[in-house]
Amino acid sequence: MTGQIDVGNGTYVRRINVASAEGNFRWNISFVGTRESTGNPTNPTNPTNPTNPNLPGAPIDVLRFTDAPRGNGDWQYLGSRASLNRVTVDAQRDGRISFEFPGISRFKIVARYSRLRGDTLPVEIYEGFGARDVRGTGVVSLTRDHTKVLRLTLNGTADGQRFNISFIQGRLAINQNVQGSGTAEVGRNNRQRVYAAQVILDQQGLFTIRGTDGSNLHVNGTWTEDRAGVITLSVTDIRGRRVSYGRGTLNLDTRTDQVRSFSLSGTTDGESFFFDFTVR
Amino acid sequence: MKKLLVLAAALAASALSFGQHASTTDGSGTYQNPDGNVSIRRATVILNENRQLQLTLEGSRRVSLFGTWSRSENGRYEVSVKTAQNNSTPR
Repeated sequence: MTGQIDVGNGTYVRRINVASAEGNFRWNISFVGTRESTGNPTNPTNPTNPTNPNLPGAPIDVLRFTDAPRGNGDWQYLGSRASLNRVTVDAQRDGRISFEFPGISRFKIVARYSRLRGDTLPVEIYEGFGARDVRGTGVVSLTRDHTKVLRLTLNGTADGQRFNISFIQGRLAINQNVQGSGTAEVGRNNRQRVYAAQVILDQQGLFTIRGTDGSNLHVNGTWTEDRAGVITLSVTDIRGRRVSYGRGTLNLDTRTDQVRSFSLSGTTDGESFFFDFTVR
Repeated sequence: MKKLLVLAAALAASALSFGQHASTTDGSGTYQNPDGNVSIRRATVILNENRQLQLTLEGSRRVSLFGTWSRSENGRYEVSVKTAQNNSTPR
């Protein structure tokens, strides 16, 4: 039987179509490759196959760590842009390193790392975005013990579309516009439904929460993270009021740092206030 | 004995360096043959400098096939595949 094997840019098989001559349908091979093998490599001979750790070109510095640092970053692909609050980085002994962006993309970016330059790890990207043809390079800066990520940049193309990702490890910081439902009340008989809100926690420990649909209540204060996903808020100011104080809690999704709900209450100019919200 | 080992290693290294393509790929497909259908979940392709092809298909069964390749263009190889059992080219 005869046919074609398409290996694309050489790292894995895109397609196999082989069949016996016309009129004889007993023999046929049809195969569509989706990705480089994640299992034990059957064949040890591909110098470009990152699944094989024992080949020329395999990383000299063998790393093994998983880190999910918080911080700030920028994610750009297909004309959309998102701010990164967290990335998950997983380096395997076989030379692969993967990057996940919880809450931003369901696709991993997978790369092959090469020799460390000091604490800087160059990577060559070969998979991501669910695209068939992914190429790119990146740099990951690590702590001195090479187990934590300090910063990273990843750039390249996925099926011809440019992607640019950068991230710097740091304290939690978020700026999210959320939709759902809640209630805002200042004084008695002044209750308003709230359908959208903006939540900002900055790296200096200050927060702003304001209604953006249904109520324009605008609350400022300080925040601390008491335990994973639970933020304690201390109110110091409400826009348009002279003296305000109170407390509250903000709940985050522990994996993605997306806002799930918040609740604030206290006193402002001698009146009580209350502001709660649950993300839909 | 040592010399033989060194020679074998050298030959293996030489085979690697002359390899045109070798990879193991996850995916999906079927291999139809007179004994029935085999669903494929992984394919290993080795195309060497001597125009020889080795194709290993893994899935519901593991099948090794051999053959030749004649030309490559933009990563596409024209291939002729024989079965491992009788070394004949099915027509």
